[in-house]
Amino acid sequence: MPKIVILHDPLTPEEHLQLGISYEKRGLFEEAKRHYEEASKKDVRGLLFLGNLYLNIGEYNRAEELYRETIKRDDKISDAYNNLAWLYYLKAEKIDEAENLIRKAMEIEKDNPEKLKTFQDTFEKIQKLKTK
Amino acid sequence: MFKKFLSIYLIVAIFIIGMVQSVGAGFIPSEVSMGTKTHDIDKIQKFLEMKVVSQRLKDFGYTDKEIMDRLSALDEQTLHSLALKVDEIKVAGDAGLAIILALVIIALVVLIINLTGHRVTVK
Repeated sequence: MPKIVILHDPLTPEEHLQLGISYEKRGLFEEAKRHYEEASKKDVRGLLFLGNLYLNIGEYNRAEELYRETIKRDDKISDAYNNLAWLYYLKAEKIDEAENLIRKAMEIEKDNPEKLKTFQDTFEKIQKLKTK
Repeated sequence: MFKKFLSIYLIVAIFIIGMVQSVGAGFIPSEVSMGTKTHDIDKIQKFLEMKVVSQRLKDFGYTDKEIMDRLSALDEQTLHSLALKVDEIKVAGDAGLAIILALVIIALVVLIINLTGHRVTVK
């Protein structure tokens, strides 16, 4: 007699993100993607982390889509603006847009000195690229 | 001689450190966004994999004691392998459910056809 089993997801979105990070660190990209996708149903950072994963493996177009989707779902995720700006910096394209993105990230984190320092670094690099 | 060697070593080290920082300085990795400490990653992974495997055993009707016995007998690598295979078990479960549903639908269609006075034959 076949038995129907109802499967429960034991992990919270936060835990899916954590496990995704662990697997990504170990190079288990497919498993990491699965956890980020699962998390992204309830936590927008799942999309951001997926974008980061694709950026790390050099799939820039997919990373760009995911960063845009992240910002569309939550326009206060400053890391998504920064990483999208960084992606344009790496590709040396859409530099004006990259500058706008990093300005937006800096505006969101204006009261967070630690984050501002990183964003400032991205901003300076973009500025240097613009003047070349 | 030693001072000269030390100076060259320091110049090279500072140059390399500077390069490494400039490559990734603008990118914010996921673990930084998440606030995860690198040395905690392994511990967190083990804990979460235990949670995943334990829940799947529970889904399949194992008691808490049986789950504890099984989990305590697993080494880290086996636990990791099991956690990765958990979704394959899920796929098998879903496929079984799909077959059952398909059979139920076929039976209902045959029943309705028979009730409306028609006959279903296989030639």
